[in-house]
Order: sequence, then structure tokens, then C-alpha cells
Amino acid sequence: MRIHNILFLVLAVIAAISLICVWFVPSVQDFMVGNTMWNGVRTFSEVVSATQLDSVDDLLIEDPEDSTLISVPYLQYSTDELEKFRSFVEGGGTLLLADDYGYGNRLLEYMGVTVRFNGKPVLDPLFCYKTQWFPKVVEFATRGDFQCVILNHATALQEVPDEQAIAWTADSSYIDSNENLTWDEGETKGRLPIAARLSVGKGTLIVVGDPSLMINTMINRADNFAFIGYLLGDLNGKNVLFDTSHLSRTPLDVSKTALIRIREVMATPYPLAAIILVIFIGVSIWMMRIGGEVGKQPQNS
Amino acid sequence: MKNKLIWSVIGAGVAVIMLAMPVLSAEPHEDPLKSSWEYSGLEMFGYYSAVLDEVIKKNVDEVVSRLNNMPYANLPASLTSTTETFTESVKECTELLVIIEKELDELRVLIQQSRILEANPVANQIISELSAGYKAVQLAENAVIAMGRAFSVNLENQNSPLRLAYEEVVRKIASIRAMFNLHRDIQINLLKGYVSKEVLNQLGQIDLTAGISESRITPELSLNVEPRDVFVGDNVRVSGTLTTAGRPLVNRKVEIMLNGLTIVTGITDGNGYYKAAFQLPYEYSVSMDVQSLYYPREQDTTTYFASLSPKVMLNILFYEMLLSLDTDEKGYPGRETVIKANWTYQPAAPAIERNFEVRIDDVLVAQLSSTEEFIQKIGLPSDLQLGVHRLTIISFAKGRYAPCIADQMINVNRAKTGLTINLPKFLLVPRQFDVNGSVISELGPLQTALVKIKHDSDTQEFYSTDDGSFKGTLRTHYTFGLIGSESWIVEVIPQEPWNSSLLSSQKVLVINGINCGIFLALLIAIGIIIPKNFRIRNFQWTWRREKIQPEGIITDIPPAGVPVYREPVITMLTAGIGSDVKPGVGIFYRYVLLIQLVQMMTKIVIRPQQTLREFVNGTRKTLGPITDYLLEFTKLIERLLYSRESTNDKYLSTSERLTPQIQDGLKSEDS
Repeated sequence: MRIHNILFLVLAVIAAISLICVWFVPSVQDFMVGNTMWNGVRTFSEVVSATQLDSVDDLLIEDPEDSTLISVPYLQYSTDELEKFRSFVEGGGTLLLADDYGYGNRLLEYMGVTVRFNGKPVLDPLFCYKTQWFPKVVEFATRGDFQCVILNHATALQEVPDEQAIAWTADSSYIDSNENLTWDEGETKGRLPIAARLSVGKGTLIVVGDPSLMINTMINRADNFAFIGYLLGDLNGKNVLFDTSHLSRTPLDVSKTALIRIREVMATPYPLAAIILVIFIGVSIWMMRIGGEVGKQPQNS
Repeated sequence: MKNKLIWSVIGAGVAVIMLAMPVLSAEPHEDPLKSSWEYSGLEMFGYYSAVLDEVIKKNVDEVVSRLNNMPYANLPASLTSTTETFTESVKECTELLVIIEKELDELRVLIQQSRILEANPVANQIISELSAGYKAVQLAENAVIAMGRAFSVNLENQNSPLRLAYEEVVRKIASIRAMFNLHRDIQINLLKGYVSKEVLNQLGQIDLTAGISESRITPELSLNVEPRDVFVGDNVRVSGTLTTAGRPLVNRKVEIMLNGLTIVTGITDGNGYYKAAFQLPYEYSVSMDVQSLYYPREQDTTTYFASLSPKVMLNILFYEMLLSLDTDEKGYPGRETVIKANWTYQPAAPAIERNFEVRIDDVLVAQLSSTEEFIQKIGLPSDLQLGVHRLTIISFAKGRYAPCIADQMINVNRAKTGLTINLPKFLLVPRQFDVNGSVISELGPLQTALVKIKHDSDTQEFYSTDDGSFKGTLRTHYTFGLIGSESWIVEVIPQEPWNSSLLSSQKVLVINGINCGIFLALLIAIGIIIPKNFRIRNFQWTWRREKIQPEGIITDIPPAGVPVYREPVITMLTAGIGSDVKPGVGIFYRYVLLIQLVQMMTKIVIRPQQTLREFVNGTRKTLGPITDYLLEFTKLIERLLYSRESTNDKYLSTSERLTPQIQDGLKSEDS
């Protein structure tokens, strides 16, 4: 066997192994449904039976009132996507917009509500878990099955009407505007709203200043899960969608998505027809190359 | 080889990137499990300082609320019991300050009215509370000192924020102690003349009557109340006498108290008799107590104590309303819901017109009046949030008729819209086609609802009629698709706020006739025509029938003898015989042709180890007597092949004789 043939064979094997790895190795990227590590949302999505929404184009729902969509906007929304989200909520759907330092304000602006994400970290050196980056929320508009919620690198909401706010941080929390990890004169200090529930059209928009509440390492801390359950309301019979199209992805996630897409596309009629055509042409050429005769009288010896 | 190398390099690049992916994925966020504990004494003292500010303001709720959060504070485990002590002590301090202040006011009134006997337990209660307050302050101070040690405050320099915050807390605790001191001083001042300052400073139990002159006496105060059973709003007459040792106290004020509050005042006459009347307030409780009070004023303060009459209980009468409310369990925003209210009175009372308010979650939605039970339609606000709401009906008090409230939960939701649409299952595009359907909810057909049907970038709009139906024509445009399932998105937007909108996707199998034709033509072109023109090496398609006419020697072979319907694909060329063939070869040719013909007809092939004679004998079962001719021809061929004899006319004529005989036999066999 020639050297280049061996090389080609080895690379083919490597490529095959890579594809298998891409398919089976779990994602390690933040908020990925398939990520079982500390920063994924596997536990949460399993408990609420969330379906991964890879593209907002797929957001076509028969009855928005029976659906709850969760979005973490770490990538910009396009105008089409904003319109789809608005139609979804105005049609009666529930949207949980969880953001800290992302692009949530663009969606809020488009929805026509006054609430905004502050975009700067909320720190609490006293009511916190371990460090001030994990503030504890102990004040709620309604007492449910939750008394304490632990945030992780969160931001606060602003312009929230009192009757729409759901939860506040403690008095010792502050917005670290200059991000020097210390409270300075001029920086907002005191109870800060971190969650709000707003009515938009026929639907409900829930705004939370910390998407990390849902990650595997946070979901079972304190009363985080009960609080998210309260935010989402009664999910019985509801279709829960987790928007992953606005999350930054590692090449592994991109490859995983690409593989899934390719598999889906392959299953549709046109590509299938194209594949058959390619195989047909390939086999024809191969047959022509190997030569031979079919149906001709053999040479008489 | 060059191409393979290029593809190899590309493949290697892709493989390396894919394998490296898990490594490239960095962890961008902080895992709390990997964080270490950090405590802030500065924040803790700052928070405590703010709490103590609220203590000084006697804002009990705020203090309790803030301190209840302390279990969630991030503090060293060694300080847990200390912070708990501080929390409990400070809460106690605040509550005591408020209670003592209230009791001091009560004590002030009692002392002013010379109600010493009543003042005595109050004064002792205050002393106990002051004692508890001082103890709580001390515990709080000790706790703060312990926390200061834990955060090594004494090692900090004088101006460090931590030290300043700590000292601020200590200062505020001292202020709270000063507040208790102030209250103690107020009590000392109030009880001046009854108890000495030194005794009070010891915070022990006291007896206010001990130092009072024995000449002071308590008058006797009687009370009569008429009637005892009285309707709200009716007048109550009270009377009685104020005497001391049988002698009337003349021209003295006697206060009449209803449930402990003065409602009217009477003046005693020359017989010590007093009387008064008051209207019973419209308070619909079943009983109230009436009591008269005399307390000495001016010169009487040195002669008399205050005096209270026995309490007289009044049975309060009113018409209690037993109201029941019935509503639809489900409501729809913007739509009317029916409420049914009926009521009775206990005891039975004549019907009068009552005013009602209907509220949803404390928001007024309707007002009405009625004398008897009613059924009323109430419009629910169109912007009412979906979910369970409390619908409350309030009947206001009217004279002897007590107020009443009844409520019921109502589940407000939108009616689900249902869509029926008739789209073809298969659609040959591009063309126009008719569509019809209907929109209906559980509340009936959707009238003038907007029905948007979207396909690709094209949106067409229809409006439903009164019966909820709609119809129209949909256009499809030419696209580059071939065949497949396509979606028509139907959006229903109702006019009524109580109907929910609907977004539905309808799948239709679409066949693009033009594109399919082009595609088929392309397939034929690529799959058939192109390979036909690619002659590579000796490749040749079996279906290609070469129109090579044998010339010369074989023109005398009667092809007509071979059945046309199964014309063998055998020619001179395929048999390896050209136009320059020698005459003897024609015998072989005829034999080969016949053998092939036999193989085709009998489906029996010559096996590699088989001789020609064995093969021919094997066909006897199928061909019968023809086999004899064939065997004769075979023997002739064997002679030509294996003997020294060469082709001669005899052999030629034999072959020419046998060939048609065999062909005819085969022909008849086949038919």
C-alpha cells in the first residue's frame, strides 16, 4: 500500500472518530441543555422537560398560551426574531427572559416595557453565599415555597414598578458600576429588584437578572428551583422551550448543532434526491472505470 | 495522487479542530464550589448600625424584618450563637421600648386621675420591662464586643472603616441604653410623691398606695343602663349615684365609658345622681360593656381616690345578613360574567334596598342596589390578568342592617380558538386554489376574526363571517422546489378580547410540476445520455444493438428461422467472425448459434467441466427428438475439432441440412 493511501486511511479513521466524539461528548458551554457540568442546564431542562429551541424560526406554536419560552440573550436578536418573540408573548405565551450582561434590553425595548437590565454586577458582601458575587435574595413580593435564592454574577433590574417586582436583594447589596468590587459613593446601594413579572398583550413577560439560577450548580442551591418554578407558574401540560440560539457556543456546540442540522436536512426529500443522484452518478462512473462488457457474445476461441 | 494529498490535508485539519474542541472550550463563569469563603465585618457592623437606627426610631416591624434576614448573612460559623444573641436582644429592646412608652402614657393618665390602685400594677409592669430592657441592651453590647474581637477590630487603626463601623454600633447601643434611662426617669417623675427615686432605681417591685394618706377615700359609684338589649343606633340611657359613706357627691363629673372609651359625661345633682344618654354606635358586635368613672379633680385629689362602677353588658341587636354568592367558575376578559346573590336576615327583618359593590381583587368593577336577590351581569375588564381571581360582593351597613361580604374564586382565561381549514392534501404548483374553513371557540363562532395565511413571504388575509366561516383563494408562486411538504402558517386574530389568538401550521405535500419535469429530464440526461457517450475502454451497454450486417459468407444464414420475439443478441461480430471468415468456419458459427439458442430456450448452461455431447444429451428431456439432430451436429463438430479431417462439402451440406431442422424443431418447441 502506498504512503498516501495509508495517510488517507488514517485521516479517514480520525475524521470518523471525531464525528463520533462530537456526537457523543457532552457540551461544556454555559446554559447548554446537553451540558451536564456545573454550568449547563441539563438538570433544569430535564425537570421541566424543556425542549431545545435551536432557531427562533422554529418558534411556531399552535397555542402560545400553553407554552413557556426561556431565553438567555447572550447574542443579539435580529429584528425578525424580536418580532417573533413579541408575537409569541402578545399571543398569550409566557417568556422568561433571563439575562445579566447580555442583550436583553433590546428585547425589552422592542416589547415596549419600561423595565431594563442594569448590566452591571450586583454584589452583596453580607447576604451572600461565600463571596459577594453570589448575593442572596431574601425579600419576595409573595411568600411561596422559597425563602432564599442565591444568585451568581447577577445584575439588577431598573425602572420596575413596585407592583410588578417579584424579588429584591438585601439592603447590603449594591451595583458595582465601576466594577472595582467595592461600594463607592454614587453607586446604588440597598434593596434592588432582580425579578419582575409584566403583562404584555395577552401574555406574560418574566424578567430575571440572573440566568445562572438555572445552571446545574445553582439550581439546587437554597430555594432556587422553587423560585424558578414559581416564576414559570403552573407548567402542567405546558410546552417548555429553551432558546439556545442566543447563546455563545464553542466549536463543539457548533459542530453538534451542525451535525444535528445535517442529519435533519438529509432526511428531507430534496437532499435525499440529490444524494441518490450523486450515488447514481458515482456508481456509473465507477462502473465505467472498471470496464467490462455486458451482453456481448464472447470471443470465439 | 495530488488530489488525494489535498483532501488528506483538509481532512487532517478538520479532524484536528474537532478533536481539539473540548480543550478549546474554556469555562467562562465562576463555579461557587471553587470559591473560598470571604467575610465582611465592615458590612456586618454597617448593617447592624442601620438596624439600631430603626431601634432608636422604635420601628419594630423594620427591625424585626431586617434581623430576621440575619440567618442568611455570610458570617463565620463561630459567630452564629453570638449573632443570634444580638438579634434576639435587639428585637427585645425594640419591643420593650415601644411597650414601655405606651404603658407610661397609661400610667400618666391613671396617676392624673388618682386611679392609684389601677396604676400600681402598671407601674410594676414598667419596672419589670425596664429591668428586662437593660439586660437585653447588655447582651447586645456583649455580642457586639465578641464580634469585634472575631474581626480583630482592636488591631485596626483608629480611622479604619471597620473600626469606625464597630464603634458606631457600640455608640448606638449606648443610645438605646440611654432611652431606657429616659423612660425610667419619666416613671420616677410620674410617681413622685408615691415612691422615692432610690426605690425606683433599684428596679424592684413597688406599692404606690403605701405612701398615700389614709384619709383619702374611694367614693361609691353605681350605674344603671336602660335598655340592656338595644339595636345599634338606638339611644341608651345611663344613670347612677356617686356617694361617699352614704353622702352624695354633688356637682361632680362622671364619665360614661363604652368599651373603655369615654362616650358621654354626666354631672351629679344635689343627690349625687347623674344621668346621661348616648346613641349606640353602628358597630355590629354582639355585646359591649358600659362603665362609669369618677376621678377626683382639683381639691378632690387630696380627699378622694378615683372610682369605677361595675361593668354593665349590653346585648347589641342588629340584622345580620347571610349573603351567598354564586358566579360562573370561568370568566373571560372583556366579557360579562353572571353573578347571583341572595340573602336572608338573622333575625328576620323587613326587606330594604341594599347597596352592593362588586370587586375583583379589591378593584371596584360594579355598583348596584337591590331589595331582594338578584342576578346581575358584570363586565370583566378586558385587561384583566389571566388566572384565578377573587370576586367579592360587599353589602354596606344600613342602619340596623349589618354589612356583609361574600366572595368566590373565578378563573379568568381566554377561550381557546379552534381552527378548521380545508387545504388540499396534495398541491400541484404554481397555481391558485380555493381555501375555506371556520374559526370557533368554546363561546361560539369568531365573528370578523382576522385570518392570516402565510406561505413563504406571501401573506393573505381573510375575515370570518358571522358564523365563523371564511373562504378565499390562495395563490402560489413559482419556486425552485421539487416535491415535498410545505407549511402554510395560519394566524387567527379574534376581535374579542376573550378569545385567544391562534397560530397554526398546516402541512401540504407540494409537487412542482415544472421543476419535476426539468429534474427528470436532467436525470435522463445525466444518467443515460451522458454515460452513452462516454466510451471507456471496451465498455458497451447490452441494450445497444449494433446494426452490423454480416456480409459474404453468412448472408445465407436464414435469420428468419430464429424467432423474432426472442431474437438472440448474437451477430457475426459478437461471435468473433468478421466478413473475411473462411467457409469452414461457417459450420462452427452455425453450431455456436444453435447451442446458444438451445441455452436460451432450455435455460440450461454449459458447465465448465461438461463436454458438448454431455450438454446436448442433457437437453433431451426438454427438447425431445431435436436432440438427435443436435447430437448429430455435435458429432460432426467433434470430428472437425478432434480428427485430422478437414472441412469438406459433405460436412458443409450436413450442417446446412441440420441447421434448419434444428431451428424448425426449436421453433415448434417454443410455440
